[in-house]
Amino acid sequence: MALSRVTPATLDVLEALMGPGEELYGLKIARNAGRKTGSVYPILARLEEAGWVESCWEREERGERGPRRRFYRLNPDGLAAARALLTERRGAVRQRTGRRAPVRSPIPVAELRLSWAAR
Amino acid sequence: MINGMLGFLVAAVLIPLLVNEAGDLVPSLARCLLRWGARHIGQADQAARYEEEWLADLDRVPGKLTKLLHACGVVARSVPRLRAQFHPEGRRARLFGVLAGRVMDRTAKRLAAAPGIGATLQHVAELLVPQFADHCFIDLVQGGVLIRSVARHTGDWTPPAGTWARAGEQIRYPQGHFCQQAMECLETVLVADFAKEDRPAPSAPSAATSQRVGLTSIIAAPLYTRGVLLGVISVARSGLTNRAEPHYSPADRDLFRTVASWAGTAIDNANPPEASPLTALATCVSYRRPVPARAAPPASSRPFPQPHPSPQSPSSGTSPYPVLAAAP
Repeated sequence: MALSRVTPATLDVLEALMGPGEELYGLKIARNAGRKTGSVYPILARLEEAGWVESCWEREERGERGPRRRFYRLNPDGLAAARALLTERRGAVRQRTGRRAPVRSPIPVAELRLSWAAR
Repeated sequence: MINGMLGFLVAAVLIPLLVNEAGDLVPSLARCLLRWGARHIGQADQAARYEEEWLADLDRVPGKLTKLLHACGVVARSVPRLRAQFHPEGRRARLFGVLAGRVMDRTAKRLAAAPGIGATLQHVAELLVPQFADHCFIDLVQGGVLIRSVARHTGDWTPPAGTWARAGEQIRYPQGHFCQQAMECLETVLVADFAKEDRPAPSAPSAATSQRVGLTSIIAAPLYTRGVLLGVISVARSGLTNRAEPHYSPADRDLFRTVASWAGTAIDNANPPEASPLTALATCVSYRRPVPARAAPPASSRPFPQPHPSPQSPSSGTSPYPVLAAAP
């Protein structure tokens, strides 16, 4: 089924869902997608409503008590549809692992040194 | 001396105690906030689900103050959207919020900037499908007959050949058809539940396709500008998409009436002056020039609107339009 609304955040969440790791829950998906958790839950709900995503509760381990996580994964139809959508909108599927890219200085260090030396 | 002792007690004992206490209270405050937010989603089963899911995710958020900020973010962003998604009334409100605000604004801007009649019609259809409808049809009166100018459907779906009229084909609506009714009465017609109303179809294959695609609700509005009927625009929802609200409401009809009015004006503006006698007259009166002779109908897809005989009094019995009179 087609998605009623596709935003850049939706595409980021789809990329995060296509990434490695089987146990993807809301917080982890939000981190991998680089989006606020609050905006990710409604997107996951929409994807689930559209039949692209399936979710299930975390299995209760013995001795562990407390709230269970909800795991999300793309079903085969959703995976194919997501791949087609991402290719159409972004040209390719980017891998999102949650690791942030190293922060780089907008100006190369060598240029900075030169500019200071010129003063 | 006593003041100094009191100051020491406050600074060294009370304030650290309070800070420590507050630090311990913050995570439970975050949990309370998430429980409160989940309860406000609207549905009991969804509330229970999201409460557990959010609390489990909260346990994995490091820090104490960070937990509270995380909970605030979830409540502020997720709760209104999920509420609108699961609650039908809320969804309608959201639809109106979006359509009446951003999309309507965009519609007006794009229609104003549309360079030609073809682009104008395409813009109208693109703005309506799939946000507001699964199908959009624009039929224009050209040379006394009704020609389907735009047929747009959600996704990649296309009707089988020989069923629903395609762009460029002539269409004849029978008496009692919602499009015919919209043009005859110059009123926006709402078919809230298509399954419950017995409406005639232009042809048997057309009716069969409507059944197959699962039409749920339809709105048809006349394209009527400055006393001239330009054609008819209709939108429909069907089983092609899974909408929370598959039926149009009277509020949707009012909204669509506005869109049709703008579309009619945009189509009239996109027409060359010689194509519309009233526009030509208005232009010549303004510039004190002689009225030009009406150009012969070109082979292109320009619509040639027919003046409406009596816009204020819908006819009863025979239709004033040749195209309608010719309908079976």
